[in-house]
Amino acid sequence: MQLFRSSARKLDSYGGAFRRPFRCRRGANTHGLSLNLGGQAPLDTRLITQIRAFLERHNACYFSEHLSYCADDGHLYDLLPLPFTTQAVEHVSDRIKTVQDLLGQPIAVENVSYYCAPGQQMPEIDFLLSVLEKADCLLLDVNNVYVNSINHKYNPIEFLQQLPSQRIAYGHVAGHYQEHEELLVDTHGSDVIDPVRKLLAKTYEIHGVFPTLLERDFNIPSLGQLEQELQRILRAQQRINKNGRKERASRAFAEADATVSSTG
Amino acid sequence: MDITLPNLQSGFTEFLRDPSNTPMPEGVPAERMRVYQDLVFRNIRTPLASNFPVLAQIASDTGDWDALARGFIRDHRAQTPHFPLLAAEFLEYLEELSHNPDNPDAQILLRYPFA
Repeated sequence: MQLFRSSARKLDSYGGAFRRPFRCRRGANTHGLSLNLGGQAPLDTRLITQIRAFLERHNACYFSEHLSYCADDGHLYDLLPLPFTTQAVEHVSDRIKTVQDLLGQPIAVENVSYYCAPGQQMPEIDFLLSVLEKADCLLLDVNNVYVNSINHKYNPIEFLQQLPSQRIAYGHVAGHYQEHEELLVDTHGSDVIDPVRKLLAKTYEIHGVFPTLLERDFNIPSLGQLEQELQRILRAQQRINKNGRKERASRAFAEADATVSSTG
Repeated sequence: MDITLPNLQSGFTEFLRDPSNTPMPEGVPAERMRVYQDLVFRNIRTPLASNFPVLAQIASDTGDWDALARGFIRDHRAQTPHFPLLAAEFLEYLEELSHNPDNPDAQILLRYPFA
């Protein structure tokens, strides 16, 4: 027990082993899982204060979280589906704005994979657009768009076309697990499949290039294989930049980049 | 009248915490609810098994390990937002359980006195 208490203390100062500021050529971006943006429990202001201190210490540019909830009166550590209702739009937008005030900077929210839509009053796209209208930036996960388009039978390109380019701050791409033809589960445990790769290229075509993170949490292959995957993403970005038809969606980043994460 | 947001959400999480004793949220296909059930259960059970390898190993054949993981999800309210501290939350749960002999899962603990 002592061991865990002492690691809890370390996490209190947030950053754990990384007490010294990161030295990054291109600035670090951070991504959260536990803010429970759409939940009913009061926002965890202690956690937000820790995140703010972390961002300042490491000079990190961005913080992003999920358009989801992960707790009731205790954490469940999973991304649960926010009901697509007007009440939920108001609720989660207000909480995003509060987080932005407490952090002193805008955050990007990520569209999540959802497997069912309890209490649904509007399509996913209307829900997402309403939240973006009120609370700003999108972290666009292209694999999640693909997974949702199969699971809920919609056209992913039509979905992407409706998104406002200027609000896309950042992107994610990942592999998923196919339970059967009509049910995909977002696991980050396998290679990006070809249709998702094509959808990412299509997204760049529609919205311009944005910095993109390759996510991989399980069954992690060799660095060489990951590097190949990154190269594919970079090539898709370069094709668009070369054509020069689109302005970049986000100017906040010095250089469009592809990076890899193993933390979700 | 439409169900309010807090009710929709609590109906959902109550089911995930205790699927065998809670009605499934209305209008949601059972197969899709099972995806969430499995995600939550596995996401908690797997890291706990690597944090408590001995207990997980000797208690898994009897089904006791699954029962403890299930009990943890059902009865404990984890407060840390830091997922790597899940093990500390589990120890708290075992402690709560040891003070609560009426909970049937407390009997499981008696079989593993070192826990």
